[in-house]
Amino acid sequence: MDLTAFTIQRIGRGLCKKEFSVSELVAAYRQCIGEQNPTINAYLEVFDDARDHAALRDRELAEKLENNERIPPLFGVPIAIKDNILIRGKTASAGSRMLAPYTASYDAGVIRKLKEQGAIFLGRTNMDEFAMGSSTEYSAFGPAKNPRDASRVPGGSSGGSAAAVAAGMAPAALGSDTGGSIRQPAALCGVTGLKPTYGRVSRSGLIAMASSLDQIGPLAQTAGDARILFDAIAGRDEYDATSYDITEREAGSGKREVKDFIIGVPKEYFEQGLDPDIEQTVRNAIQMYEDAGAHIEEVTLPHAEYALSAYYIVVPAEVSANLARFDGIRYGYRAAQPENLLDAYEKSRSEGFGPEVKRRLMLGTHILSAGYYDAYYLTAQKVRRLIARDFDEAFARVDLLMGPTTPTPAFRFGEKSDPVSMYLADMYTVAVNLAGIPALSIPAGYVRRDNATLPVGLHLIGPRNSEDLILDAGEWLEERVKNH
Amino acid sequence: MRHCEESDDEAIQKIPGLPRAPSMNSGSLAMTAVRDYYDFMRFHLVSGLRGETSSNALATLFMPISLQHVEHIARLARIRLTEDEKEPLRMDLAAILGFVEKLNEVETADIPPMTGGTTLVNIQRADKDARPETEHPATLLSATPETQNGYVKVKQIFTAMQ
Repeated sequence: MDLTAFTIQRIGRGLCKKEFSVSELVAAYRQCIGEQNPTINAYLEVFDDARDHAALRDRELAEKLENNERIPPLFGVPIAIKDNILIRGKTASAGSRMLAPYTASYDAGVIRKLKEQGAIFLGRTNMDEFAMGSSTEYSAFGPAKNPRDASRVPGGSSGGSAAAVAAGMAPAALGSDTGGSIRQPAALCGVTGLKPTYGRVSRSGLIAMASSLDQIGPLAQTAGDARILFDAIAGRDEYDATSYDITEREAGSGKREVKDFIIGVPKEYFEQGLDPDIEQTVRNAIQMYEDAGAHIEEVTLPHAEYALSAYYIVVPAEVSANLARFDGIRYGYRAAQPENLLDAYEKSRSEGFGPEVKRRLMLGTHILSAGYYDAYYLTAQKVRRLIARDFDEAFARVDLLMGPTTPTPAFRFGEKSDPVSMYLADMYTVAVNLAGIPALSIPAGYVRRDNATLPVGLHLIGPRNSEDLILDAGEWLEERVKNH
Repeated sequence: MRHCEESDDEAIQKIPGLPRAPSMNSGSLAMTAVRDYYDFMRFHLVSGLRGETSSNALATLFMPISLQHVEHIARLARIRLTEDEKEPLRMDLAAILGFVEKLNEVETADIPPMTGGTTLVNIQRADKDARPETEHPATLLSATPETQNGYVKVKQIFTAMQ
């Protein structure tokens, strides 16, 4: 019995039937991490106290079973946590030298909710510094590798979380998504990743990158598992004023049949730059829905081509404001022997931040400086409105949109993609964050590259609060791709 | 304007004043956003050479950013740049700003800005202490690099005039 091959759902059943204990489960994952992490570098730290927590959960479980108490779906389930989500008493470095010495003083909202269910934290996962990047090559602690082919990137910025799940080093993980940082690595590693509607999950205790775009979400082996994690972390948190609860009606009326779906296929998502094998795999997947009776309709998102430009203004602007707090005074890295206060700020920030962070800080500072604000930031916010309206108009006609998550499969470390591919790579995912809507990436098939079999992600985009709908749609395909 | 057998790279090299991608350690950092930005820029430029982009868009690629301006921004951002970092950053900023100029194509006059990701308005809470229990002063102080007598220790702010 390979415990590390189990889904969250299977773990839940196994624990209740006493097939295995939480301690055995945690030991199995720790062994797998010990074997694989030296190569994959998915974890920056493995928490030794997971064993103590497992032993405690085993005692609680015995009691609960004896008293016929309800066992929460994540009870005793080991989870990997991205390094930018705070767990009280643990280091949270956000993949940066700047926060390498930082110990979290409180639990993130999502961590509180997972603790309430009795989940166990295996460790913290690798990421691009402050979540800026798409390959984990910007981690200050060395990149994570793609478990399918260690010469290729796992994607980013939540690349450590995706690699951990794909390699069996965790049944599921949390990541964060500002412009695709959950969905893109999920696609490249062959796992399922959900970017929730903006505000459905608390951002309290998430180290902020671009606050109007950031959302925490699950990376899992199946859509069913992603749903369990999402349900656990979603909802109002008093420490994030943008978080909210929804009614069942708002969440959609129960499970729907695929034959009732109206699926929109944006023509802009199949233009130049898309790898032909990826296009074929994605089109095959959409064909499966059509064969099952779904209505497929081509739609247009006229401002899709501007999403990336708007994104590259909004993000650096918010980054420069959010990262102003790292001054070497209150927490994190402090440079040695500064001459005066200004020197302390400048030295600490220059030594603590890596090149991509500095670049975005500079850009954001320029964009927000006197005389430039209207030209850049205000214009970008107006275009952002137009991008959101494009989606609104599409969702007036269709239930959800489908396309590729990424234009290419996992690329090699240091590989230079052609410019058009790179343009489109960001375009598929960033528009969703600008509009604040939810999206899911699920494995839709594989392509062969050299000697590797590389996963392809199908991107399912829905209107606000349609997580249940896109997860239903994803779950349907997942069963068929698996049996293919 | 350009020979067919000429690669895009070669064509680009011949344009005076075009920023070049800074040389990078290809082992660890080659797949970088700098590269992305340069790729974007080169894509636009090459499109322009092929007559696919308006001359106006091309002009914006060369939007001048002076080294003095780079130094000014760095000071505002509280980042100290080495001499070697300044010129590549100047080129990065010019390239990125040239790229985002694309937004000028969009008619935005009557469009209200979307100022955030939320659709909620006026979320309020009771006017009482909302600080989590865990945010105890001692916990927060323990995170600071240097303390003295229960205070955060910083460098002197006001210094005597020389």
